[in-house]
Amino acid sequence: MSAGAFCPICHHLLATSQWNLPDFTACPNCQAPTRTLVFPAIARATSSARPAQRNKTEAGCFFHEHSRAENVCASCGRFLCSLCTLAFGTQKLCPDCIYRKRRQASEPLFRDQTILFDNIALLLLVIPVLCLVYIYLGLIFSAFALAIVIIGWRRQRPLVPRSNYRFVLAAGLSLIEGLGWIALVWLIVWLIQSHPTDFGL
Amino acid sequence: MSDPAFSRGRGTETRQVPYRKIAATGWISRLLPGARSTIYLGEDHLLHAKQIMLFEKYRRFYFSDIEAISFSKSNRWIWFSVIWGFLLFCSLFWYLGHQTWCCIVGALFCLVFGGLLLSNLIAGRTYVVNIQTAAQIRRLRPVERENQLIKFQQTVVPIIMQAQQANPNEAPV
Repeated sequence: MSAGAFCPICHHLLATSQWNLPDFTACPNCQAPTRTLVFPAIARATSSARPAQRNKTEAGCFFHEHSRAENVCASCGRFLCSLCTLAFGTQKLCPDCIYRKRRQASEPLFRDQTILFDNIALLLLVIPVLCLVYIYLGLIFSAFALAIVIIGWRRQRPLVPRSNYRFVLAAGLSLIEGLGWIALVWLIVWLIQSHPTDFGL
Repeated sequence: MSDPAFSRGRGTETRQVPYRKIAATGWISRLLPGARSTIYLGEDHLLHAKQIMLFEKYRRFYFSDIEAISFSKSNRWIWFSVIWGFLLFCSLFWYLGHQTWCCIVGALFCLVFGGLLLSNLIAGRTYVVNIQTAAQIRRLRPVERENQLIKFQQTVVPIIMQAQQANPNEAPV
């Protein structure tokens, strides 16, 4: 629970006299010119009360039987005291539901990360070239990259708009790298067969 | 079954949250893993998306929960100007060579470092910007330039004020 606004540079607690001023003021600790816009929510943060005890006639919290139920979980319908009620966006949920929804990562609202298959495919195509192992592993890496493009095209679910051009680029590059590897190996074999003495054979 | 107690996540899988990009780090950050981040405006929250090579991590800041936005002036833009200016000066040494290719290489280097210096100066001074809720304090890199910060304030502050005046008694997370 925060107790005020902090300097962005040294994280020192700023005085309330420095809040919402039109000009920059020096941080008392690091002297950096700082400006802080404080919103009404900061007053709510310090006023969290303990959950009220319930009477025998009142419903109790699912997790704390001696606390009075004040909300209902929007997902599972459990009664919740003020301590167990977590406002997640516009919904009020219990900790169990938030944990479950985050693990399932089914709703966009509960996803906190996504795998970028297009970047993985591009990285797989760059690695053998940069590490100078293209001649040995070029075909394998390009095949993997193509597979990841095919798998990731449908499975990649970013929360924010993301273009598919990286997938197209990775697919094109993987084909070029794969075919290039085959051509290179064929050329080497042809050179060895046509001039075996040059290679000590 | 319509009872929320029996509804499982898979049924709501197709719902998409509309986001509008309001700020992003510069194009140089695309070359550095972990340095690229973007801020999106959602219905009731800000979304901070940070790309770390193979992953994209998301942080949400609900308008009703934002306690403060703090920003301090930083000298980073001066140091960048010094670095790009020094490299631009060094690029001029290519013109000491009398061959044509020296002039061409010098011109290329001058173009690159001069462009970087110019873009750094045009982007304006730098700030360190933090956004604070009851649960987290995060640095917002996409709005650390003056122009971006002004636009960000103009866009976000009225929405935050509106959200917090509408629900003054809502419990914090």
